[in-house]
Amino acid sequence: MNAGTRLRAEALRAHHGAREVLKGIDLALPAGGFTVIVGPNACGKSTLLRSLARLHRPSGGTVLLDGLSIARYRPRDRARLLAVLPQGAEAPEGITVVDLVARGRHPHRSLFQPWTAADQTAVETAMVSAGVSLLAERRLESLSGGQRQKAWIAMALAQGADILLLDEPTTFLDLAHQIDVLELCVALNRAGTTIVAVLHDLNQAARYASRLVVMRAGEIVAQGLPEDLLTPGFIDAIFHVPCIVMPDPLTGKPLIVPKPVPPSR
Amino acid sequence: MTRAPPLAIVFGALLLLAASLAALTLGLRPIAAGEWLAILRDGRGSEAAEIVLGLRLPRVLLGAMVGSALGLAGAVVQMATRNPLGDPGLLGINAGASLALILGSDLVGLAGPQAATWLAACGAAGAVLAVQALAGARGGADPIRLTLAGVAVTALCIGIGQAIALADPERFDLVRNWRVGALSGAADAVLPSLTAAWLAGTLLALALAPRLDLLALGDDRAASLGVAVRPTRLGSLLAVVLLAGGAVAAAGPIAFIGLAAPHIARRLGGIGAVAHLPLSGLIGAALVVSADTLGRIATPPAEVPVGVVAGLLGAPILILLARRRSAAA
Repeated sequence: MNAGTRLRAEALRAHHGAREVLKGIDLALPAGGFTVIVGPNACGKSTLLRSLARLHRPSGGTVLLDGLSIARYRPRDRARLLAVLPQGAEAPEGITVVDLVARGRHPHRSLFQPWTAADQTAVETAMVSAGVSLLAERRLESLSGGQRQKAWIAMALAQGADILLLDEPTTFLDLAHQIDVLELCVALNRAGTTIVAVLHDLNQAARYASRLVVMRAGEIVAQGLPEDLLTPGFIDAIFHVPCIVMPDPLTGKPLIVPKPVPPSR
Repeated sequence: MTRAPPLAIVFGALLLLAASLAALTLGLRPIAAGEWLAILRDGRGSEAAEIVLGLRLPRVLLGAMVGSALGLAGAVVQMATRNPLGDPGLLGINAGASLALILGSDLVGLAGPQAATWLAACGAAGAVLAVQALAGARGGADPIRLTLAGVAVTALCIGIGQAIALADPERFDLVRNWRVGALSGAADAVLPSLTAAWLAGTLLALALAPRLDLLALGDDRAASLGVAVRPTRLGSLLAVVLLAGGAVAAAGPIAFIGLAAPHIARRLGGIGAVAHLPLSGLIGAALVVSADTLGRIATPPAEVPVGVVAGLLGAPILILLARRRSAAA
């Protein structure tokens, strides 16, 4: 994949009402990387992701997509380059997986244009990549949470974008499905997709991220390789969790083991 | 989007055709099969032909147009606001249009019935704006707030309308038809302006269909797929105002069609807007034409207004839907 940076934030500021949620973020997301954004609740990580995707309008600074301000793209053109899975899945009752994935083709279609062979190929390829081909005709509500999340990812893939932003894709999933979804992200990343994900679980972040971005109170406090950043002192300072860190016996990545804390702290 | 089910659309069209044939045939003076053949062969001339072509056909056309407008407007409201109970009536659109007609009835008297369509559309637009303002700026992000605001605006419009009508009995007679919802009072004169509003609203709604499909997935997901969310929602509301405003001007506020038609269409034709919107229109048209026929033949020689029949038929449907939803939840 082309080296360098596809997506970059410069002095990015954002507000929710009067509250400043992002206080001047500078961030360059490497092309072909698997970047994971972590941080305590309400640190602004979701707002950062949403601002990067232009779902949230920043109050200052810019986001550059391929060197051009993201605000200057037509929504359709932006959607062909960058796909995002926001939180909170809503789908009409009775929709099938293939119909959902087909809706991902919207940025490539014009009004009243018939369904093309290219659309069909893109939908089928996306379902194969996300591992939901066998579920194509199933109704979305009949699937498990993990299968559903993979169907949403397939829809984002059908968009044809090679930058994929995911906002807490594993929340509300059981462990097996969490791993399933994250392994899918790894496979997509290996195939060339640039991945940026907000995750809650530090151990999963450490395991899957090629680059970790740590936020607190609207600012980036550290970024780099997980093994360089995640030390007991750092974790205690940011998350207020005393812990020990040891190498994961399988991957060699940092494995965080929290120490018990007396309840009356 | 991929494979629109044309079968359901054909079914909807057949339903409308059957309802229209029944409406042309049934009534105080039923048309026998032999008379139908004579009309088809000779055209106008006979007494039966005058009844079918001169009296009943315009009324069927009006009913079909009003019904399809309400069904389509209901489907658009439901998709744009992600509120399965969305309905032009429940959002205050009908009441706003009625109030505008009551307030402007003098104007209609001067400018003729053409003005009624546009007056009603303005009233509907005013009600939409008021409901939006009450519900908050995000425009239908919260179905409950939107519904509450719709109830409040409806109550306000009806209250003002009643106060005016009670103070002025002549006006009361003039607007009675509008408030009940009837096809009999509507003159042929409103047809041109209704047709214009209907065409514009229908084309706009159909053009927005693919985007409405994406709005159904949530504002964020729609935006991430390249949909400009606010313009799409504003365009949808404009389509609803044109359709519902035109329908109210022609026939008064007919309740429940906008709610029931999309729900029936969903059972028949799946969930893609490209098929769902036209199907909702066809079902709405068939419902209004049938309800009007029922109203004509139920208590001869008197007529029950179509709005009353639609209410009597629609209320049980609404209760059934509410029970199904709570059972499923």
